[in-house]
Amino acid sequence: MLIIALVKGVPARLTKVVRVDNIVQRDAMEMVVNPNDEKAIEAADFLKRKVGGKIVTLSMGPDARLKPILTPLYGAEATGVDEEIILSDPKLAGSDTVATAYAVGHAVYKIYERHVVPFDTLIKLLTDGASVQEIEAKARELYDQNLIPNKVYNEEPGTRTSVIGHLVDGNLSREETIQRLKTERSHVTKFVILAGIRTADGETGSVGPQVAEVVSQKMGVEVPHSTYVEELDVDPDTLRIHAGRRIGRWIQRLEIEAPCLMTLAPEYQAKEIKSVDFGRVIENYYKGKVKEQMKWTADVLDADPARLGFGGSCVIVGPAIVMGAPASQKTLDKSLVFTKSVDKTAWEGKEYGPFAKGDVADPLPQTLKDDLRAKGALTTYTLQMLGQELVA
Amino acid sequence: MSTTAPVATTSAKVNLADYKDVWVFLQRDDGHLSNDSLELLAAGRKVADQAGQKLVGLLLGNHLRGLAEEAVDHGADVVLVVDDPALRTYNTMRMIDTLEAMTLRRKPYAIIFLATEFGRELAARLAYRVNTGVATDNVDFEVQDYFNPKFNEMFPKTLTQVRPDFGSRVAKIWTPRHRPQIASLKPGSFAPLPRNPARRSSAKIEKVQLPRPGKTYALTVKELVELPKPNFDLEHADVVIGLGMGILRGADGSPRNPIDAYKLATELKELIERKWGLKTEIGASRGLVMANVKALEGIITRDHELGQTGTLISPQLYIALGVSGSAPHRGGIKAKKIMAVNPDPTAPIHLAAQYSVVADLYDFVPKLIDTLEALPDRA
Repeated sequence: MLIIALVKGVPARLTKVVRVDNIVQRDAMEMVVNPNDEKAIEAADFLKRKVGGKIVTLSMGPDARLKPILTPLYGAEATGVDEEIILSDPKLAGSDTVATAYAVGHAVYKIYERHVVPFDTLIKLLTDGASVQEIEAKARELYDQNLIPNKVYNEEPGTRTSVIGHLVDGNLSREETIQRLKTERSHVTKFVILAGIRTADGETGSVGPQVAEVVSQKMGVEVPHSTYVEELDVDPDTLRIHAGRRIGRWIQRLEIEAPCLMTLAPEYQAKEIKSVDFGRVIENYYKGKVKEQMKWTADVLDADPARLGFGGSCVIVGPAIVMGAPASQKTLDKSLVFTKSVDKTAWEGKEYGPFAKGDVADPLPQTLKDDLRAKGALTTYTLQMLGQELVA
Repeated sequence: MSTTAPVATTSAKVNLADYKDVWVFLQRDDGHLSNDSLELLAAGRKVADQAGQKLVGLLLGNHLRGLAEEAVDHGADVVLVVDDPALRTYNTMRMIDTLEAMTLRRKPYAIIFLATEFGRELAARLAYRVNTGVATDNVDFEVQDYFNPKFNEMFPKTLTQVRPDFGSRVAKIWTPRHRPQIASLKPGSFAPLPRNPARRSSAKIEKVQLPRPGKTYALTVKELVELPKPNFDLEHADVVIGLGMGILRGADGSPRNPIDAYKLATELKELIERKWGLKTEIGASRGLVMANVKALEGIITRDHELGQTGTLISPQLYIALGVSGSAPHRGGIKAKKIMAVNPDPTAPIHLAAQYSVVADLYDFVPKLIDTLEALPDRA
């Protein structure tokens, strides 16, 4: 099963968001992996362990910032991620959710295409009458590029159980080989896209469902989506997905045909895999991790440039308005508050007040506070006062 | 099996003047419109009045008897009802098809959903399908002429969507060149309009046939299980006491039994209810809910979660005990007054609090209870 996990880099500290002309400058900020996306990786790992296949992560953003934060996800021991693709291009800056989904959806389609084209290449060699040696050489090349599963070709010592292996050994005719390749090709078409429920920065949760829509339009097949998935399982025979999600006060249990997209809720925890056909899982694996992360630019996408980045966005975000702290803040046993009302007071060339009983004096100049305190107009904020104000 | 997907709409310029009426997607709860939906009608009413258009309530589901009248009583001018057994299980894909067909045929000026799990996904996917933008989690709307300096263009009577941005700010969002303008409303942002049955005489309730009734989907709903309603109501409480991860340890870092904090909170709740008659409930931060603390099993559940990912609250008073106050937590609390009890003076909750108590809650709450106990009752 081809599993595509969407992983976003988000600002490490939301207090340090850099903007120029209202566009978030992601290359000028420290980033972390969006915490919700870790659940997408967990679910991807689960699916791969249960049915075999390959995990490709897809991220969009400045590659210089994304590379270091994605590397740990890619560690040999950490996860089953086989490939990481970073979609990085200044043309994508300033994307709203629609333009983001447009770019990401096209990249998802490209990933899918990358994994079906090798089958078409092999089938074409077979129908064009290429020699078995030629076909085996091509299969080895595709296998080394991590683009066809063990089942189609592998170099595991002592095993020649692959489709191309059988062709080489004369166990399968050319026609039978073509049929087997067509079947395997159709399995790649049942791919799954996984994502976190929302990002920690934009918080819209919109991109997931929109990516499903983009891929639907690209493939000409409706790709369903389900958000807030908490329970996930897959039938290794049919590749049918069983998902459970909570919407309001309801639990909805779904059966989904791949290709499909799911966003995982933070509550999701991968099920224990009790029994699995390891032989089949290993057959469905690919060669393994590709060492280098791949950078894709917008040109790779075969997309309409007018629909990318700021120009392709439908919404315009105005300047952010900082929500102020409460007008008055009092700290128990520390703040100074007025014990009585005090008229406007001129102090060192400025005017302050008027003040009512109970008003907080903390922001006033120290010398003025000293003076007011000497006059008995200020006192420390007590629990008694706090209690009264709470229930006032 | 799935059928063919709709063809991508082109990005040809839309004629903005063709789009009329403000639609709101209504949801139900126990045979009535949900309280959030009544708030949504109030928000929609404001937009429709400012735009000089009609407010249209959308009801999609099955066995919807009586709901359209409720929508009219609370502000709708027109209600479009699609009442069909095929909509009973809330199949997202069918809902989107239904909304798409209605949108393409009737061309609304704006569609507002609730920012619930369901509303969010419908808004997002529908927006992409009908080739427009989406702004989620709005807290307010205004219809204004919008001038964009970059395009040097004036967009008359555009919906200004106001939403929280990066946790601590609000941002205004416009969808100037596409229609409909699609948005979701954060529950708790508007007060429902009073019920007015006299509105029924001028309102129109229209039944709409389910589009593409024979279509089958690659996603099917196998089961729909209703969870029991919690026996508390954070949303409508006058006072909410929130418990955070800080209840697991004292200020000196020593482990504490969180049950003791829960007992203190309960004592405080009962005192406030008895003395001042203020409905008080106990909630918890996401951190504490997700920690699945053994001692709090069955006591603090997911229904207790406060903040943007849990219940959004707007009480008169919020008492935060051992809550650090992350941006999503603070963003979900719109209290008249906040009192924060946290021994860490740099905890972000203190930024949002009118009353800061830098102390160990296990020392402070008993003193607060004594103090409140000694105060005179409300006259």
